[in-house]
Amino acid sequence: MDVSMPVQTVVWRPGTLEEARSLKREYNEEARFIAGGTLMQMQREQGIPFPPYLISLEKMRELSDIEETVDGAVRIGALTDLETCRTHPLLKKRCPALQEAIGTISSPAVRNRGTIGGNILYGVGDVIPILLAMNARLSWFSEDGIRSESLSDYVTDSVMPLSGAILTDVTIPSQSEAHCFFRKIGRRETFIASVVTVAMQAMVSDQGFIQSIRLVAGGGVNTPRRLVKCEEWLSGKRLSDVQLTELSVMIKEESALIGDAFASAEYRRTVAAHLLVAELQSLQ
Amino acid sequence: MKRNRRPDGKEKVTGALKYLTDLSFPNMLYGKIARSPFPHARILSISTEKARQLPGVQAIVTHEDIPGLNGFGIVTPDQPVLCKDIVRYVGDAVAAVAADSIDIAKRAIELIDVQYEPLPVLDSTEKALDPSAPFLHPDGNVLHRAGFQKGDIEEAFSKCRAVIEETYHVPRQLHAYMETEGGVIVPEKNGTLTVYVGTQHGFKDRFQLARILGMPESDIRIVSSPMGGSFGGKDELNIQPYGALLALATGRPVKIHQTRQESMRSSIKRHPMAITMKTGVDEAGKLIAHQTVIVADTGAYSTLGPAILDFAVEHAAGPYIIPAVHTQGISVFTNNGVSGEFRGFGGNQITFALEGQIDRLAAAIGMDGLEIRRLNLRREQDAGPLGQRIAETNGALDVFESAAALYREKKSASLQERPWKKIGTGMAVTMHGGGLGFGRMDPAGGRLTLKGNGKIEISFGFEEAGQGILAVIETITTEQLGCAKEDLSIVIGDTAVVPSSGSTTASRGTSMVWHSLQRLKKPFIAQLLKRASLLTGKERLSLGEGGIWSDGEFLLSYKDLACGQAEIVAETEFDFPVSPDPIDSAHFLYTYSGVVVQVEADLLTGKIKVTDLHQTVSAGPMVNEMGFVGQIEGGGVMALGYTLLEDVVMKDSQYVTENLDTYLIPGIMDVPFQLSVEPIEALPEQDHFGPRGVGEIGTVAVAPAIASAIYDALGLQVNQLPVHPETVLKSIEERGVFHGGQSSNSGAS
Repeated sequence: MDVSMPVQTVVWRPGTLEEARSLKREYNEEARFIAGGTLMQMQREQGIPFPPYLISLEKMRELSDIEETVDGAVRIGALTDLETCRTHPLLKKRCPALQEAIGTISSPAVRNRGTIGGNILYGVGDVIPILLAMNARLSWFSEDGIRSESLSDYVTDSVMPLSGAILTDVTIPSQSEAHCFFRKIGRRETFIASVVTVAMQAMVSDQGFIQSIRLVAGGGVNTPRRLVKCEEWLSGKRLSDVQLTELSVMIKEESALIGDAFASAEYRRTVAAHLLVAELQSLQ
Repeated sequence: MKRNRRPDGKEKVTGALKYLTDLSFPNMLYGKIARSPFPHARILSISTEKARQLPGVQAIVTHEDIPGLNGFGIVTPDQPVLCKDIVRYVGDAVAAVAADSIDIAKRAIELIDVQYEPLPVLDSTEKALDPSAPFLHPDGNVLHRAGFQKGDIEEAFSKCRAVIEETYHVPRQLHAYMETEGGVIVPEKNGTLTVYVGTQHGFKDRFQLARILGMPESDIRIVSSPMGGSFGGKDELNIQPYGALLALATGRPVKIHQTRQESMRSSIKRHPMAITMKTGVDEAGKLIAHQTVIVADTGAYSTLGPAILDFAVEHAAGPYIIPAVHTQGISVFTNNGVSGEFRGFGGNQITFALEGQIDRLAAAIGMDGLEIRRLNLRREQDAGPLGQRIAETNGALDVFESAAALYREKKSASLQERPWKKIGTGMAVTMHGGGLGFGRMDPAGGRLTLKGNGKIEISFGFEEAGQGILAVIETITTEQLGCAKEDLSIVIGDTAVVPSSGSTTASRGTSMVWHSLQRLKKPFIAQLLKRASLLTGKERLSLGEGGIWSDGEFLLSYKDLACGQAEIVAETEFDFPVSPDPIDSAHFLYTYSGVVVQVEADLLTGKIKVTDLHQTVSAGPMVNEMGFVGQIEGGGVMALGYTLLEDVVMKDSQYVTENLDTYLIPGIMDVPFQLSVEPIEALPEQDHFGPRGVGEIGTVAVAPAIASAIYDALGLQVNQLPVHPETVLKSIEERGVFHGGQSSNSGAS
């Protein structure tokens, strides 16, 4: 064993995306981007050391704004901190369910530092389910320019679009009359990782027909995913005709949530099914 | 009334207070402890050579560097300070390092090369008791057996109308004090050692350290208050021996402050127990037979394991009068961490089982849970649970009737249940002994001094761990002497200057401060007044605010009374009161609590939320209302965590819950908005034992009350803590307990 102290981490603070990208290109595997740093600090506490180089994105203020686009969508800069998202007037008007979801993340101190982009890139962040239900899209600054893809494609493929790409913003399309729902279950009331998260966005006609629906389940180490089979099965049905027992079985199966030392797979699947079915029932 | 502010309150809530772990000294080094990665292994070799080469490492100590006894333990010193041959749990220490920085010390720990040969791991009491199991200690794997017997149990069972038998499992609970173990150990120029590390008993630490270091006790000074929490967890030695060895090795102050992870790995925890109870009632609902078997997992070393088992055995029948009782307990060594002292001291475990039995029996014979309790609870003159005479109070019935009235009120109030929720109401009652018990050395004492500067100094060997002993001392002393709090100076937590008062444990602090003042006030006041009379020539004098008063007029300040003359000192030493009946470990002063709880069960998730927690407590006169309420509410929340969240999970004797992200204590949102405390201060006229301590009683009967409320809401009788939502949800699904009407068409049913 080498008798010496571990190398001190060097932190770069580039002012532009181009600069950040070239630093990443230069130091490659030895460097990681860092925004709020709340996740990396937790991981360091768990024994994963910082890499030799950190590229801090904090100075890029242009990535921390929230605005309405010309086509009525809401665009959130990836570096917007979670607390700003939780209290922003535009999101309050347009995406209250997203604000509710953000309010369940960790503690005020973490929400003040942590960013919405960081929560998405965590892979199991609690903003993901509701953003999936709202059909959000991601924009990336990459080697071949600005790229855009749906959040759903991103979590399903779980590959970063090209190494060194930087998430720049999240866009939520306009769907004003849709019903949105989010619920997180943790082992205690707040300041807790999720055991189960569910989200839903549904459009129901005046006649009680399901015009469109997106269902999402996640929680713990489970990447939140859309329950596409369930969505297809429900689409076009009259709400009052839906066999809820059958739907419950389908959700349990399709969610395929896995368990850990604190909550079993069966429990997580059952709870996900209960919460989504109860919510759908309440729409009748 | 007595809503005095704590003397240390403002500094604590503003964060201004310096704890001992905040101290720094010139030339100070930082210490780290190397602990075993294996729960059970033979040490083949320890090489510190590489670590010593690391620049900035100033000293490394192993078992070879211990001048005195390589062992500690409040009663039996069977825990090695630094292991030589065998490690018995993953917190066992093998070496310690002092270095110029924490990072260097940490790196040095990684460079210490210890070769181990893993041994079979005894990760359960069953495995440890198997005849083929290897011995963890020379006398085998049984630390202690305890029992109690009265009446003919078999005959009594044959006469029962109904008998309930159940096994209850309770978890390993973490104290989760905010300030983890730590402090600074300073070698003084004259060869003595000053230990600035929190503990619940400074003189006991001094005794244990002297034995390890081979130094006279008089050469060691322990400065041990204030602490950021303890709850029993810092009564035993923790990092002190390592800091002391390193300070002596380097001749420089050494600071050790464990991280939360280090603390969770090495600290003692509440004993997990499996408690099997068989209890029977006669035709009238009278309890007539009660049999208990307790198996406690005491972990790798003794510490206070035997006394905790004794306490659980004593409280097995609690406040109920049962003619035939048979109790057997066994405390078993395993490779699972170390179990030890924790607020409630075995009472919490046994009370969960006992009250569970009472609720099950009531259900089995169709009797009201209140009626069965009223019928069987002890009366004022009844003997204590081991047949010993105890200080008479009507506490058991008093708290019961108060709780019963509230329970009925809550039960009959028509509460609007929210969709997918079920509300349940529960109650439980208990009694809890204070002091260490008959046959155990339990001395107390204190000292009053009129100092040269005119201050009245009151000093005790008690420790301030956040429980509010400073406020108790201030309140009782000013009340008993008649002086103002500005006249006082309170001195605790420093063996160089305080008298011995015994340990700050076992709900004894408040009680012993009051008893001390009863003994001190007369001689002290007499001496002060005698001098005042000589100085002024006046009579009919009394102590008052600021000084000596005569017929309502201020006469002489304490400063003028003290000026230029010898200090006036009154000192007392006495023992904690015990039963006149010589029954080992039996208690004499008991406190009582009646708990009423309301819960809301979530039918979709199985989660239980406590929405209302009330405790009625009978503990004699209340010294300070804020302190009293703080102890009971805080204890209640700690017990809520024990019931619903907290479990130090171990797998193969390794910790699964390594930090506070997986080991969960309640947050403010888990605490019920409705939280109330009712003190019952009444004592019989002849009682001269004054206020009893309430450090523990608020934690004891909360779990069974929550269990009772869950039963009321869902019909589920839980026998395991913490109550997992998964268990609840399964039960809901099996029973089809759903909200009326909503479940008819639900996939959730």
